[in-house]
Amino acid sequence: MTAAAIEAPQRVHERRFTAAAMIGPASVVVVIGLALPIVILFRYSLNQFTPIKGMIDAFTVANYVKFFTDPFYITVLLRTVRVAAMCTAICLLLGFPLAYCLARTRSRFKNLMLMAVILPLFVGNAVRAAGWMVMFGNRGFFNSIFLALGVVDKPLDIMYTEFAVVVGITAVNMPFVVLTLQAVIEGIDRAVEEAALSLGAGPIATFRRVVWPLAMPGILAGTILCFILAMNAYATPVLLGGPRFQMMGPTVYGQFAGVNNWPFGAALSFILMTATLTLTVVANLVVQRRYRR
Amino acid sequence: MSKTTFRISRRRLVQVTGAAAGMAALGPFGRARAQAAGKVVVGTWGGDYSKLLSKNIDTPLLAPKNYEVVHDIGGDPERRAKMRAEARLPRGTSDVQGLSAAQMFEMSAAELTLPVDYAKIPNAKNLVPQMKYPYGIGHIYSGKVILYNPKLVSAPTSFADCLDPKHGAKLGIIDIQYQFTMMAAGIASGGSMTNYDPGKERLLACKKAGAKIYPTNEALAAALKNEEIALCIMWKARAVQWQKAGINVETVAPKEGVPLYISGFVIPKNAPNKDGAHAWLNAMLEPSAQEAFAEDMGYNPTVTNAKVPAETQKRIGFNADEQKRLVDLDYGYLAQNDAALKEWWDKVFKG
Amino acid sequence: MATTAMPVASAVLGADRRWLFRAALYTAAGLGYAVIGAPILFVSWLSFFSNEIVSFPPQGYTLRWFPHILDQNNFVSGFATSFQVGVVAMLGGLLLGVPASLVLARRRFLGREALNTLLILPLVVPGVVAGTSIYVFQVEAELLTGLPLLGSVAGLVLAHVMITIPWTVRLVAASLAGFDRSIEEAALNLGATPLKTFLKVTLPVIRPGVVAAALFGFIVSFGNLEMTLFLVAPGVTTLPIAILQYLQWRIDPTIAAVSFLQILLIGAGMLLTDRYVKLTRVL
Repeated sequence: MTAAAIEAPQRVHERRFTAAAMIGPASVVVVIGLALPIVILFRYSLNQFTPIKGMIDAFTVANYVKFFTDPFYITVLLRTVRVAAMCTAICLLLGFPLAYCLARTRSRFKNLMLMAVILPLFVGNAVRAAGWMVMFGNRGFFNSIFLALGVVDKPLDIMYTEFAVVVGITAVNMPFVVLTLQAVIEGIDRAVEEAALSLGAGPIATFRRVVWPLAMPGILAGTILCFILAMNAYATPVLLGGPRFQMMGPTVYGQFAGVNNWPFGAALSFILMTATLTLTVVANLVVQRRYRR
Repeated sequence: MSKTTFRISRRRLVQVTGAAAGMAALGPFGRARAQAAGKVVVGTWGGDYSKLLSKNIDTPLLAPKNYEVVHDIGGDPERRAKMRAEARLPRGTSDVQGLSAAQMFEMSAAELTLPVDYAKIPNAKNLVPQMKYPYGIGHIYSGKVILYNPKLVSAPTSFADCLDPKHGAKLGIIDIQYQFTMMAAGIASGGSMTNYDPGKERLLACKKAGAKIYPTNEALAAALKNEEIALCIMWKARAVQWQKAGINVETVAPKEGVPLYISGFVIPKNAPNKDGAHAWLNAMLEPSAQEAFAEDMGYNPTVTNAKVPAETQKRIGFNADEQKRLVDLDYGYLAQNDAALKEWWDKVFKG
Repeated sequence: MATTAMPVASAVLGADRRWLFRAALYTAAGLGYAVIGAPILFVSWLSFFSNEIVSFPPQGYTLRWFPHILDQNNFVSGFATSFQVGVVAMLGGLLLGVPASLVLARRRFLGREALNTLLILPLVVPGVVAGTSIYVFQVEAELLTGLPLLGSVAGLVLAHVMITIPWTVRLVAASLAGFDRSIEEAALNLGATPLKTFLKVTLPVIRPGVVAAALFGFIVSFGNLEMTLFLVAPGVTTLPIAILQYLQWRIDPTIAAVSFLQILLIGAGMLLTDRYVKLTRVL
């Protein structure tokens, strides 16, 4: 014991070195690969744009002012937040029961059931959007059925609506939420639930008082992940929202590639990232205050 | 943020998830940026355009001369963005870039293009004069015409007749065609090639009457096929392709004039293989290559010595009367106002 | 709850409620499955349509789109590139991410939160923004160093490794929650080398996290579109890019056939691995 105590200072030093060697490479990759590029992009957001010449070196906040003084761009941001919030809510509402069933099932096909959730992740967003287009189009699956049944006399506009975008993004994000929640629920001992039930608590009370609070870390992780992915969505809003339903991701892209207005595109990027981060941090704090400590 | 944990780990997942690792067939991958002496990198749109360039230019004309042609496939927005970004590099990543005439002008105005050395392009002597620019060469052309479904509407005669609120939801408009749409509305409402503004009111009226806006040419084609819409404005070449695909449309050359659509190629000023770029441009003007594009895509050749069969010519070309109405765009006006036009389109028209 | 007051009534009511609860649960779960699966099913269905321009109901069914795929060299080489980049990115992400998450999960030190946030950055930054800024950075770096960085394989792979790191860090850290460090200390005190301690004590605990990280690392790299768009060299294409380029030109059953084939291939791969991993499972 005494020998160990004498050794301690050297071991602490050694361990510090090991820790640095373990976390250093990943940090360096992210700093060089992303943090520095983002810093350069931030510098670009202070530059000026002119037609033809493109970007001109400057030091101005004009691009940020342009955003905050133009109701159009504010609307686009608010719309993006609204869509992301709706997608997150639906993902949780449908994803939690699905995750619960997956976690609690004793079926021998549990593997297959899980695979059915994972497999769509391998199929690109664009392809999955194409799948919805087949359903939502004017001559698509739903409209053909509605018309045949005489529910409507002319095709409903489902494509290029907020509904289509919300459904599309929800479908893209749902597997992530389900898998996150499923893992957490499996970590909750069945015995705890059974105890609550045998003590006379109804299934809803058990769910609300036992499962929900215990699953809270997973719920938080899943919703935050879902919200971030929805805020950043690109392919789905482009394909299902159509030209008139504008969200932040496609708008940023349009500034960079479409009109080559790099400074404004850069400013939009930072506004989008700041909004996403602020909202997730606030949500995180609120939930943590309510459920823990 | 930092307190977040993503817990997705369970024993069951272990089994399911080996998939990625299990399927790993690690081979040598990645092609480094080519250093081969005879490599030409051609920036082009994907799909048929790229395929036909390979089939009619790269393989038959340049491969025998030991050129290896590689396509940098992408939409013109991304390729233009890249041209701007890498302009400061001594050595860029592409040798020729396919752009519309307006974009070729814009890139040259931004000093991103190399002046074409016509001494190295013998085939240029056959070029239609309108297609020969100091900074680039027109490859194929068509004109903006009116497309309509004869089953659903009577033939319109002019842009004013087509872009009219009376058509309600039967009128289709393409988002990425904002320039040509605003131009057509402009000249239909007393504007000119240097002033599209008078058309704005007309477009807003059409939107209010229910005109449908589609993101791409293809989305609009599907709507025409479904008879969701009955008329639109589009290149004649696309109309020819759509007719071939079984869409019931006829074309009309509008009274106000037929705006030219020219697709061409420029050489970025930092092209790594400038000789190769010129050799490629020369091959592009070979009559055989030009004839193939007319046949397969419905675009008109830009050289006078290409022999297009009379039957094809009738479908894709313009008669003497229509020829007189072909109008070129004012590229200076477009380059100067593009950002503003797009902003109006996004914010006011689509908003 | 009021039900505790009357035990008999609550038992009756409870059975009824339990049934309702089950019904609601299964309905919601079924809807969840429907939302996840519907687009995949419809794309698969579309790949057999005989009409070229998508309209409903189909005019008939055919298999003729499948041979088309092989004419499209882009899809075949795109799949190969995506697969290879995905595997390398996944392995690189594990190599960098696992040690980092071990430190983050178990040490308390100054700047820990900052490092934690840094390593999750690639998940927060939108793909379009990441792609553009990395591209711009490569231009600046190439100007400075003269090295041909733009469109290089190294640049592409590095970017893909980076986007897998947040997943590895989060998943491995999560699997360490509740892990008792004294077991490791005990192993070390009993004379085991640090490497042996890691292999025999730590690794079995974090294994599910590592496997999940491998899966998600591969998925995010394999499916990445927006960032990759700016970073691929001329002539190189990945599967998502090849599909996007095709979709920009036209939407038809060929693209559905490509997707269907991809679904079959990955599904089969998963089933195969499932059998193999089950047999050799140690846990």
